[in-house]
Amino acid sequence: MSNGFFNELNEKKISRRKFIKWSGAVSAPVVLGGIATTGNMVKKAGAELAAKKADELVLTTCSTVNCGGRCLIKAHINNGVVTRLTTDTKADTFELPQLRACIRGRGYRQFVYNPDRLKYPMKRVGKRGEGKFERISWEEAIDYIAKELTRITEKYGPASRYSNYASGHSGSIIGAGNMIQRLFGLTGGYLGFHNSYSSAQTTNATPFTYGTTQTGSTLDNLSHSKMIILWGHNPVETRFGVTDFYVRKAKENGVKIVVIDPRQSDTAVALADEWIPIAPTTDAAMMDAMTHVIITENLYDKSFVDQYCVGFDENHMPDGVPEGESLKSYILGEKDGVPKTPEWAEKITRVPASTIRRLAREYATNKPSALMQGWGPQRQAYGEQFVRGGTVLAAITGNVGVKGGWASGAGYISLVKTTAVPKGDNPVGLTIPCFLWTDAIVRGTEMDAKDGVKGLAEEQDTLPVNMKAMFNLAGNTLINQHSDCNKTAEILSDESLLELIVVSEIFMTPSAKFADILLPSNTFMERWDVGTTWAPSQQAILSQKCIENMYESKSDYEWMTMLAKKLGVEQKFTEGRDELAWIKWSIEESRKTDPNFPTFEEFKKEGIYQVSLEGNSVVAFEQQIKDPKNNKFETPSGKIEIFSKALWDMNDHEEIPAIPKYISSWEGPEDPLTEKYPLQLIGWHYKRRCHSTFDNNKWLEEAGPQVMWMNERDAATRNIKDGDRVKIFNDRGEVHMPVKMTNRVIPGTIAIPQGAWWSPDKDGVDQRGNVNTLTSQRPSPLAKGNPQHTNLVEVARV
Amino acid sequence: MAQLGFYINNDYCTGCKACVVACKDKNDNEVGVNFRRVYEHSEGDYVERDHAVIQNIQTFFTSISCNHCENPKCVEGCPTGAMYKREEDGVVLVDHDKCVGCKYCVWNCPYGAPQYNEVLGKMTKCDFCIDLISAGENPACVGSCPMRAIEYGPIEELRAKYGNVSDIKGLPNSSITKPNLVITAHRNAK
Amino acid sequence: MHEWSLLIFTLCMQAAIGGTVMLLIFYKKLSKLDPEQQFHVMKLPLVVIAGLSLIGLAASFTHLGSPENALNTIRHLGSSWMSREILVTGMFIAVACGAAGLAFIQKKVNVWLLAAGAVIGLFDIYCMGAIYYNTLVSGWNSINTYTSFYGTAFVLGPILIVSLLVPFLKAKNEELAQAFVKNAFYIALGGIAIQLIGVAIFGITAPEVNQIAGVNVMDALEGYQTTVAIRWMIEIIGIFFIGYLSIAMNKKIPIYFAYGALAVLIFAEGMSRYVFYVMGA
Repeated sequence: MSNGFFNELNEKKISRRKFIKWSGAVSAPVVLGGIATTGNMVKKAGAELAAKKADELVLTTCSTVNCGGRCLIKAHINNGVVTRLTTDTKADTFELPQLRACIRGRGYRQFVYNPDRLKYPMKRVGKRGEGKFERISWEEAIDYIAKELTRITEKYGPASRYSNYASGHSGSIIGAGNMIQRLFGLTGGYLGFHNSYSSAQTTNATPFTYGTTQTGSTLDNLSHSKMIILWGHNPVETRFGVTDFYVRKAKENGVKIVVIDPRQSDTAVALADEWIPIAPTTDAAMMDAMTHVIITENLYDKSFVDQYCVGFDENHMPDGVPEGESLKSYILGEKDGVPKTPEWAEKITRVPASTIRRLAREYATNKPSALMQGWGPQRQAYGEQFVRGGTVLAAITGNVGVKGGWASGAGYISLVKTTAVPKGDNPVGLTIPCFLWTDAIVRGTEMDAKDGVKGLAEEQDTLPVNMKAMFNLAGNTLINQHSDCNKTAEILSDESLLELIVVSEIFMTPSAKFADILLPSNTFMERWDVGTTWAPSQQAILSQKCIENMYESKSDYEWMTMLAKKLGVEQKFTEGRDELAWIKWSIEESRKTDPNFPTFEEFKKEGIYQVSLEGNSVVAFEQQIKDPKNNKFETPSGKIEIFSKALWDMNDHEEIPAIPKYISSWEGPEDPLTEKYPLQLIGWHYKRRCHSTFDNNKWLEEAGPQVMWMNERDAATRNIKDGDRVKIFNDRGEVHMPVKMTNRVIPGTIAIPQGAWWSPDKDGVDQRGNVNTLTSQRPSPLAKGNPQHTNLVEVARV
Repeated sequence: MAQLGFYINNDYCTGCKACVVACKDKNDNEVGVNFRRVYEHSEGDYVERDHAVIQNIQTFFTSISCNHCENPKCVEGCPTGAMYKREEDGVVLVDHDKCVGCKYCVWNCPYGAPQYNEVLGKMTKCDFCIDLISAGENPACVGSCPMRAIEYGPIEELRAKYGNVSDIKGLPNSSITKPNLVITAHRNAK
Repeated sequence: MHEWSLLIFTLCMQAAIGGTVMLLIFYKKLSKLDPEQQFHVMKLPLVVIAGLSLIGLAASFTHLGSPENALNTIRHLGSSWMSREILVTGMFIAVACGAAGLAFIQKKVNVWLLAAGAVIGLFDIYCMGAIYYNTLVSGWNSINTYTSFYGTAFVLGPILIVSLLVPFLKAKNEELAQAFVKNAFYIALGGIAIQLIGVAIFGITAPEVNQIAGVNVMDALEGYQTTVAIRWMIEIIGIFFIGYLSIAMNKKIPIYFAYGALAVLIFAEGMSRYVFYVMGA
């Protein structure tokens, strides 16, 4: 047949396909004069759009949900509707790589145009948590909030007001959490929080070694390493910036990559030369054993330890500490009689002693090497020990401050600094660890410094008042992402405890169901912001408003401005600026410290400010190592503190040791509770969700269904088959969900991807698969952080 | 123009499915319709010795769309002639004016490329984003891969650059349809 | 399994074709009767065969996503077995309906049309088998596909015709009726034998998996062993009914026995076909 014939067919096909595409794009509800329509507008819009392809507007934006990637998104807009998304297409180089969107970024249209979006403000009519609401106007909602807030403040004082930790649609420089605190600050103050649910333990523990959390180097370093150990680090799914890209580049350079993880993560599959499965909560035991090998085989960097570290052996100890407390003494078992040998660790970690020995030798003798810690293993009962154990391994092998090495620990680094709208002062001046907010509701007036309360005045032992007014904005930590959903629900349902719960949300999430007043939030595509990635970060992206607010939704700043007016502080709150004006202000502020930061107009044109690693490569602590006389570590001793006197002085040597130690964990593999609940449970970050965000995105559910991973051996002994719906339970709750039988998880451990929306049936059994139905509210000792990978459970067929 | 084909660097495929969803976004495909798909292949077991576990778990991912085959069995079996391979670049397309929606091509394709659209009552599939290519852009999947593991181009060029492999573990034998596909196999897929 | 349309289509067509073949075989013996009587006896089977083929046609349409394009399906005879099958099926339906219609107009049965229907029909079953045999679905690319389809025709066809003919014939010519039941019984046994040969070949050949998400047929059928076993038990009961009828007819066994056998065998063949389509699901 002739070409002409085929061409004709092809043309026909394309025109048809185009129509299909656009009609599909607008078949999501579209706001027309404030009313959502899906029906007759579709065809009209489809026809118009087809004709207007040439007028397509392409705007760069960046999701400011709490995603590690914060990639570059280009929204293709036709007649005010986003019809397609593309991502970074600039030249792709090692120093300036493309910031390609991952699966989540590619699915944003199903987020923005999801028909389930909250459409108008609502007020609770049923019992709290029941999810029964009636529609109200914005004015009614703001009136109610202002009235209740004033009443509660007058009755209990400003310290009873709290804005919950929320990372969902938190924004970046004009985020909901920050802005409500600014408003609280202007009206008497509030109870603040410190820490995060992501990295509480590493941000608290890392500084005891290095004096700072800024222990990350730029990722080009990885290509100079001889070996990379990704310990509980799964950047492929968590999206730490473009870490996966740079690990790939390192692999191409012949760098050996080892992943240590209870799961054979996607990172392990694609990037690792070796995957070492380990029992959850036992990482510190393996680290101790590696240290044992390195010490006993004389593989440590003697001059480095001598010159830069405190506490390695008895000759390098601070004053005022009794004998036998150094790292070496502990590792060799001089005091407790237990040498921390690989054989000792094998029993605990399930990692063969020979593997531990080999890895220790490889790491210590192939210098430089990078031991990168993920944040997962620090979210365990004694996660602080994992964090400090990693830093100590890096230190004694002399992998700190050298190109190709890695200091381990928190790993923060940012080449681009943005300026957030200031929170202003908090006259109350108190903060709690964010994980302990439920405690502050029930027993706030008993909470003291031992509970991690900060800012207590000298004559003040505890919080002055229990928490009474809760603002849970742009996040799902009110129940879903907090530990122990059943316990949390019980606390929230008691209307005598919290007297006001305000929630702003995009969807009817589990948290939204507990609102007294529920406000419909817009999405990042409907507001202005500037996005930056998780560490290590080398860029800022202008998150542009692409479309008008859908339905009656507003940005958090928009409704808070209404509330500020009602409370009589509008001028102080806004300083006369709307959202866009604040963005412009922020950009100008950033330009004051970084002259290369683009102007607003430049930013709008390019969409992104990305710093090339060429000439900007950073090695953490390089100066401290090169020129120690003039560059001290920011620790009390000015050195790397393997032994921390500050920790020693806390005088809780069992749970807060001064050197990193393996502490056998409650609900770990050695807990007698294993007789009742023999399986360990972890909840990993799933590629298809950003925490709980996108759980209701149907494209992403198809790509990554909510399933529990279980080893074939564990399944066989319980007569469970792949795809079966099973019950997972412990004393805190019960979950029913399908099982994926896979050997990609170590025997004895099951894994539920965290973030599924808690969906209790009438008996309180979660039917969706929220891991937090089973997690504990018991905090870690030092950071008071969340231990959510520390759980014992049993599994059975439903 | 020469026959087009895909190159998949299977060794670096993380199974993230960005390509799958980028493709859905571009084509507005509902749940159940996936012009590109990612398959997980996992085998192996553990040796348990006292407390220790030694793993021998071999996993890899494969991203596959339509391979616009040399001998497309979908075209051969199609009763209407709706499924056709166009001459200029060998892209296999569906003419919806002819398609009767019998789904026979689903049973004939080794790679799962034909994807039935219930709403249209027609078969749909990867069209290589020929509209984007003609506008100077990459196909949606190619530009989406965070690992840069998908490329496209004239198949002879891809073969010259990356070799002739289109048979890896888990994939149907390439002799069936002669796919225009080049793969760098994951170490576990060889 | 969601191929109910195709299940109904193949069963109806194969029963109709088997029925046509049986009518042709019985035609000679029936020509002992006078033409009007012959027409009288044969009109119901002719109508039922035409009806079955039309039901099959309707079912096949419900399988299509865009039935308005149905005429396109015969445009690719050069390489598509489906095109060929659709054309041949169309011809068979035309002949079956033509034979029935003409018989009513002429009040007599046209044997040439009957013969044409049988030949076209038998070739049609081959085309039907070839459709599945030539796919990549594990288990379908086996001789079993052909034997299963022909077997269905030779089990359902005879029993169908017997249960339609005999009630009318019995009053007129008991001996002939008895002979028909016997013939039908032997042919149905033959149909089952063909199917068993196919099953044996199926069992000894190692199935291939040629589709990326395909399942080995042995795995696909795991969990259907009970279905298969029950199917064979039912099938044997049905055949036993007919066998009993063939030797015991003069003992005033009610003719409803034949209807019972038909119902049981349709059910058995339906189960067999259900399992067949499980492979492709």
